[in-house]
Amino acid sequence: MIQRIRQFERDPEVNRRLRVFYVAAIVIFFLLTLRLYYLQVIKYRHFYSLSEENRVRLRPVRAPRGLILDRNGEILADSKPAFQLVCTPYDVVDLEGELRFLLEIVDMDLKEVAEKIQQAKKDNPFGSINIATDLTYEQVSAIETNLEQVPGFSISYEARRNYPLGFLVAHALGYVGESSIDDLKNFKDFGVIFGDYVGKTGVERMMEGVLHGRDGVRRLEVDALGREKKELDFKNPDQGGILYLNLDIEMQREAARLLEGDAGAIFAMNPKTGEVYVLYSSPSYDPNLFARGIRVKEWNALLNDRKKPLQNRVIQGLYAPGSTIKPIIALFSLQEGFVSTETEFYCPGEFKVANSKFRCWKRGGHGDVNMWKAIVESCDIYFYNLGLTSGINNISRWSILFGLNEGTGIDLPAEKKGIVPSRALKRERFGQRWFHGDTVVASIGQGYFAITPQELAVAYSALVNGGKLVKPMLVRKGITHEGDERIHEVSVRRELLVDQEKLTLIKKALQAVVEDRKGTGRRADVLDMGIGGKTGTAQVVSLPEKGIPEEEVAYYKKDHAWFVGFAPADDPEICVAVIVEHGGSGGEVAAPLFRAMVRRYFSLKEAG
Amino acid sequence: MRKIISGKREVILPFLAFIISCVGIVNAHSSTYYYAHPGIQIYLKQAIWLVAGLIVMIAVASMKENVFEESSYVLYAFFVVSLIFVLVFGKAFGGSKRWLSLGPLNIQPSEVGKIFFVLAVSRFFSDRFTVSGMELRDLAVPFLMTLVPFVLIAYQPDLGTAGLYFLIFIGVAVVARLSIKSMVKLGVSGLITVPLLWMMMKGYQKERVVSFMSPEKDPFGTGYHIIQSKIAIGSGGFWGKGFLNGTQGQLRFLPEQHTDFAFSVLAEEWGFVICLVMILLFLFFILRLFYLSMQVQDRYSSFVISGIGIYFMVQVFINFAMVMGLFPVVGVPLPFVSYGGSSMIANMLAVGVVINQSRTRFIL
Repeated sequence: MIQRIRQFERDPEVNRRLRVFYVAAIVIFFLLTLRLYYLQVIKYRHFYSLSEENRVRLRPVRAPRGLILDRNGEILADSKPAFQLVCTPYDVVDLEGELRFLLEIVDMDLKEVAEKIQQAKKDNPFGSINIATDLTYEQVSAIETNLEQVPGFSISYEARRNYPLGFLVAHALGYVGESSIDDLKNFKDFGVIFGDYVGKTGVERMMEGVLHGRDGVRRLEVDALGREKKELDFKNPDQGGILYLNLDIEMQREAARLLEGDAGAIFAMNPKTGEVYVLYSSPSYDPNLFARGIRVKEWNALLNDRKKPLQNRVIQGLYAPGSTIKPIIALFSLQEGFVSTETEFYCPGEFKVANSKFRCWKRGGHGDVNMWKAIVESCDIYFYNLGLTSGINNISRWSILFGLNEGTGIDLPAEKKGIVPSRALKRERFGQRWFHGDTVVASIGQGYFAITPQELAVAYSALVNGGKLVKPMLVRKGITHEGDERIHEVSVRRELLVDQEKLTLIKKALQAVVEDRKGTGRRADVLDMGIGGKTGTAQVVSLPEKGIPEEEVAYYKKDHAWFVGFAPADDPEICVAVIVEHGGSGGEVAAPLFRAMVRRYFSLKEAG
Repeated sequence: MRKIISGKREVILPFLAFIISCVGIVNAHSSTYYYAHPGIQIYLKQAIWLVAGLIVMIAVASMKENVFEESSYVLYAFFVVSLIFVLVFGKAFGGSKRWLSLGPLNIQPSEVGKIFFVLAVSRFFSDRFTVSGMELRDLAVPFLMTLVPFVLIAYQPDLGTAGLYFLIFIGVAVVARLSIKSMVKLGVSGLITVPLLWMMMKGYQKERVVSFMSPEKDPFGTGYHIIQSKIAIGSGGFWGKGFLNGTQGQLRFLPEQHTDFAFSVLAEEWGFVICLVMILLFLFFILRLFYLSMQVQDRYSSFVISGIGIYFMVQVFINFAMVMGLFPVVGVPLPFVSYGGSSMIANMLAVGVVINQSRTRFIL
């Protein structure tokens, strides 16, 4: 009985333990409060910004690229609105029905598009994907007015690069494309972000800093699934700056007309300032294909075209200079005192070195030839002798001084450097000793010689501007979207140490090439003006590739025709280099093109 | 010997439970506002469950006092059988079988069962109580009483809830004078079983523990819940973002927001001040339970009330710690606040039992 009574009394130990629980609860809740305080008060800013990152998405609004204008203000590149049909898979109600409806407006492959949307639905149903690009205004309005019939589909707009003159300016301007990983790295300073269009080649690439605008941004609120809930705010994009080129589009047009149907290049520049008036490589391509996203088929067609439309022949085409090298060899031989203007060599029509026989282009020979006659009539035998007299080392050294192996520093990416023959080159490339025969061939610009048209034009500019090697400039100035001006001024790479009267003599001889009754460049003559220049015929050593069809072999075996010249002769304003691939004789094929360019230049000048 | 009713009825405890539940209903509106689903809104359902819970509470509170003591084991047996029913006929949501379907209602026996379990364990300990205390061997039978529901619930699988049973069992044993020496032994053996338990765990359970340790490792996978919950709470700041203005909640970054992570929604929209008030309400609620367990003269009643106190303390603590990133995600709801009928009924039932038991006094 006593035991039972005791059982019903409060046990002090039980109460003690309950008090421990009581206190433990207080302690635990105090710790929870500390934690809450830490999260909500101490770390508030941190978590608040994380919650903002969660809900806020920044969507770029691509800035249109800047304008590119020619020297007279004609628009070479601008932006035009491009409309696309986009789809947000999640919001589509009846995929097939809606596609059938759209099919009446937009031409597309029903099955292919349906599959694309099904796939996107799995990947990210709330993202939007492109269904069709380049919609016409008619298509846009037809879709816009029926939007409620096609839930999940909409029209999106972007400012797309546009080249109104297309083919005409492809090699000068280059083209744009979606930025690659490398582009993002290279153009980081210009604010290029993923998905932006950037210059891939040409001036577009070179002047990205001017042409790239500043993207605008939409701040959107999204939910956990990435669905846009509302727009929080919007910052307008800034269009890229303006680029003024030295290019004269009217002359460029003339060059394109002259080269139509041929492979070749025309490059014209001011010999004193380096301003580039014409830079045309034929065949050309349409840069608009790249701006809208080139298709595989189109790309392959360009790549596989035997005439290589993607190659910019002005800065990348390597050709033997042929006879155009002769004035340079004559000049340095005089300068170094190997010969005088009076020195004569006899030209019997052929020339023997060791066991080899070399011919002059003129069967029967020129007879006694001095330097003047040799340049005017382009006598090969004279230059064989001259070359052997001055030696290959001087030919290499002076070719290098004229910059024929270093490009020109033109404001375009990916220019190629010429190749100048030398003992070292032959040893390194072919492991062979240099022979006199090699010197003979080099003396008339054949053999190991290979240069680009712009290198030749710059070298001839030096002949007529007092020996200055200028840098050709395609761009006159740029004004960035922030208003910074970038002016491309004349820059002289180096001055050649040659006597002015010797230069004058060469210049006069070059004038005689065109104006003398016996000159090889008579077809370049513009009657009312003094003109100077030099023909050249570059021999083709081998076919460009294997598997050329039989009927085309004859074409590919023909020589390249050169003409390089300047006008007016007494105070040159323009220097033009023309090459027509497999055109045959320079005097017959290239000289008339030169003349047409010069005429165009002066008729435009007269017209103001 | 007869139990008699004292004149006083406990009113503070149900009052606190009611206030907390009302906050829960308001919060349920916030946490389900974003989706327009058909039928009755979640917060209205929760209000209905609150009314049902109050009815259960009043009914239980006004029962005869010795009903519970006498039927403790019967209720326990009934509970175990219902757990077996769950495994056989149960309804699965989200990969685990926890519910029994009774017409339109889905009830979760493991929730309501906690109370029956407390009754049975308390009955056992009060019957065997000696002033000299208990040793480990005295725990054999109540250990088995715990193990049966533990295994059945862990098999659903719902390790979080199953673990709660163990904590309640040990808590009540400690109150019922388990000797210090035995507690130490228990602690040591517990340390040994942790690795064993780890091996028993399912893949997703292990992931949860790992992600709790370092949630940033896998922010879009298993660590997502913890990270988003901390962001929700932290970004609420001192005054909160305002009712229905929480971005973490309304834009659905926060998972399970009307159930396990309900407090995160509250913290984001109402801020530190209101959260502190909520913590204090829960603290008063739990302290009140321990106070009552010290006051009642009957040993069985004292154990029942302290068992229920331990149950609430553990559950509230784990939920708070979980949403604040101090504990792995174990799926333990916050009493009265997280949406769920079974949980509301169980908690109100517990309050009813406490009211009932706290009235008892003994005379010879």
